[in-house]
Amino acid sequence: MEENQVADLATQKQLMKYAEDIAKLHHELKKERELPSKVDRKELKAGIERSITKKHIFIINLMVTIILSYLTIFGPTRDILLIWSHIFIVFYLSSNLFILYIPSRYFIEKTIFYYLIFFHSFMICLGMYLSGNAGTDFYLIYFLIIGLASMSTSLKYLMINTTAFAFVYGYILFQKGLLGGEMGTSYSLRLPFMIIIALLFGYIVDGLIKDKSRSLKASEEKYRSLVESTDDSIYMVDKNCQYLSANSKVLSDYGLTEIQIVGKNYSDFHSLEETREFANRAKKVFETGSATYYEAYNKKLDRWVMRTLSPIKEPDTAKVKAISVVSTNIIERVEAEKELKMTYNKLKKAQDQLIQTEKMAALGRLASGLAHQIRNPLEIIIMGVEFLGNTLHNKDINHEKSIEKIKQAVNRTNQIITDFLRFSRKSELKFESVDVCQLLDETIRLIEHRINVKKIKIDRNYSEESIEVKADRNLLEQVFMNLLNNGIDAMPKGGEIKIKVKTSKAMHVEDKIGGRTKDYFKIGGKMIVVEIKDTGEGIPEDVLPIVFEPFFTTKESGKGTGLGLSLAHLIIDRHQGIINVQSEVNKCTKFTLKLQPANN
Amino acid sequence: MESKKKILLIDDEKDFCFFVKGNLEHTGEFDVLVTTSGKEGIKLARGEKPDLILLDLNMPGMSGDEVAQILSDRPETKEIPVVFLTALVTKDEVGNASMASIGGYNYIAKPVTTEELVTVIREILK
Repeated sequence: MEENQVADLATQKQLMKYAEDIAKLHHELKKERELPSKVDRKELKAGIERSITKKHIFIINLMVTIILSYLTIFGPTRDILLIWSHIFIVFYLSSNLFILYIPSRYFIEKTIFYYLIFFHSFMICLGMYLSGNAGTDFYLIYFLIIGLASMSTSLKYLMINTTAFAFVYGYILFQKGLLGGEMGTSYSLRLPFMIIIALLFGYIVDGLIKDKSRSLKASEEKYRSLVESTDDSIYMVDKNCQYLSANSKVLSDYGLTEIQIVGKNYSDFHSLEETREFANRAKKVFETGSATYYEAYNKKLDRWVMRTLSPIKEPDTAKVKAISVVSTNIIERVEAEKELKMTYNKLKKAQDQLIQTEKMAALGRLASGLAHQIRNPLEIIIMGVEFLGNTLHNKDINHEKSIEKIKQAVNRTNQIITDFLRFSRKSELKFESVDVCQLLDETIRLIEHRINVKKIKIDRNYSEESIEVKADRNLLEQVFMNLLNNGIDAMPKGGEIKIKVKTSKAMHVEDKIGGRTKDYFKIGGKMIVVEIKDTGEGIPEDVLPIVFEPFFTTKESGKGTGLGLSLAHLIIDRHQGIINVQSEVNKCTKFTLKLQPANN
Repeated sequence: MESKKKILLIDDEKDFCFFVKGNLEHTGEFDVLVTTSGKEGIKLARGEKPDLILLDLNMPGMSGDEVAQILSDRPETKEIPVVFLTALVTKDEVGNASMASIGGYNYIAKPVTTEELVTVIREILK
């Protein structure tokens, strides 16, 4: 009886220790779950344990069930316990069905595996008790369990389980009175034997696993150093764009530790736009299972990156479980591209200028030739009709009118040649201080007749009484004349021309306004702005960019040479000024001139 | 009655010469001599001593400015005012009166009407 008490106490202590170990194990597992930073370690072990497939467990489970059932049915006990034996067998067999229906992935989970081993150990003990086979070789079946348990990476657990089993088995032997008989020594030796076998199995498997884990660790170390030593940001995200892991580059960029970053959402470190773009692409990778890449600007880190999103798939199902992201800094490339684009634009501009100069020179030669060739016959026509007028007898009003019409046509033709000559000629400019408001008034007076005939109102808005620009008076007058005439032509049913003159500061970088040596106006510098706005039919948007091109006109035949605006552009450009046009169809057209002040 | 002024027109365009002569003489103020060659023009200038010479700048053979140079070198013709006719300048460039004085010479931009021509001639001969 005393012996029984000692044994009970020992079992109790053992069980307590066992419980403690189980609790520790749970704690460890919990910790591992809580610390995703140990993902790699967990992955490593999971990799090893993946070799224990459902198939292996099922086969061993079935073997144990069959042998145990056989021994239970054909055991020496034929009494009241038989019915319990049958219930036990049915229950045990049904456990196989349970294993059959548990999804494969749960067999990777340690807890399930450990409970399974514990369950078998318990069932063997129960089987032995029910069948009365405790004294037979029935106990050898436990070696199958040792084999199964040794598949686990935990030698500790194997020893705990075996020791517990040995105690329970010893207790059964003791209860059946088998320890006291002549075979008592032989029976009692079974217990250390079981522990020795478990140790041996455990050590062999542990050794093998250690070797494997060492090589895995080495390989893991190799890949880790590859990931950690690179200058690229590498991280893993799940379906919800939450970080699963990140390399040291990512951590140093954001000044965080891995624990701080893991579990955080992509949006915590990126702008809304970036997150949206990333989430869309990640979703595609999850759906299609194929990698993708794109260029993006990381606002927080102020850099251009190339992001490559690759799927990480489940080995068994090939389902995408996460995405690995490699983010490469491409700022240098982007800068180089920008530089290249700028250089290209500069070259293009230079080329355009060269072409323009060449075109102008060719036009100049052509214009001189044309002027001489056409003006001489024009002169003959004018003199000829005047001669006819002088010498014609019985001259009537129709003759007078005809002569006048011919002279007008000649004048128009001559005007085209004159514009053409002016346009192509690079004569020396005579710069002087010109009161721009006064010049505008003089120009308006010259075309007063047209303004009155077309019933056009002129609204002058001069900010100061006298604003002086540096200009060639005649040429600037020509520009004002062309722009005003354009405005008048655009309002056949009358309207209003608003003229505004003001002194302004160059505030915005535009073409020829900036800090470059070739810029006409420096930022912050003074400029004189003249705006001429009409309430005419406007210029369609598609035509707007070409209004300054030579020979472009929307006016009906004979009304315009197509050189007026291009001449204005050429003249203003030679004055180191800028001319722009803005227009709204059927509403208004505004020409804005930016001119050099006289005292510049 | 004021005597008619004698004008010499040297221009290679025969038709132009014909019409200008007709139109100027129609005013009743001028007698017009015409020739289409520079050499002939110099001869006429020396012989006829016109009050004013209208000279085309751009002529085949002897050009207008060569003729003008010779005329200014000769004592008997150097006082005669010379007005160049040219198609190579525009009216704006020679001024509102269709005339400009460059290097001591007057220029008239073609095409010119009789009225404009007469105004210029009168102005010079005043």
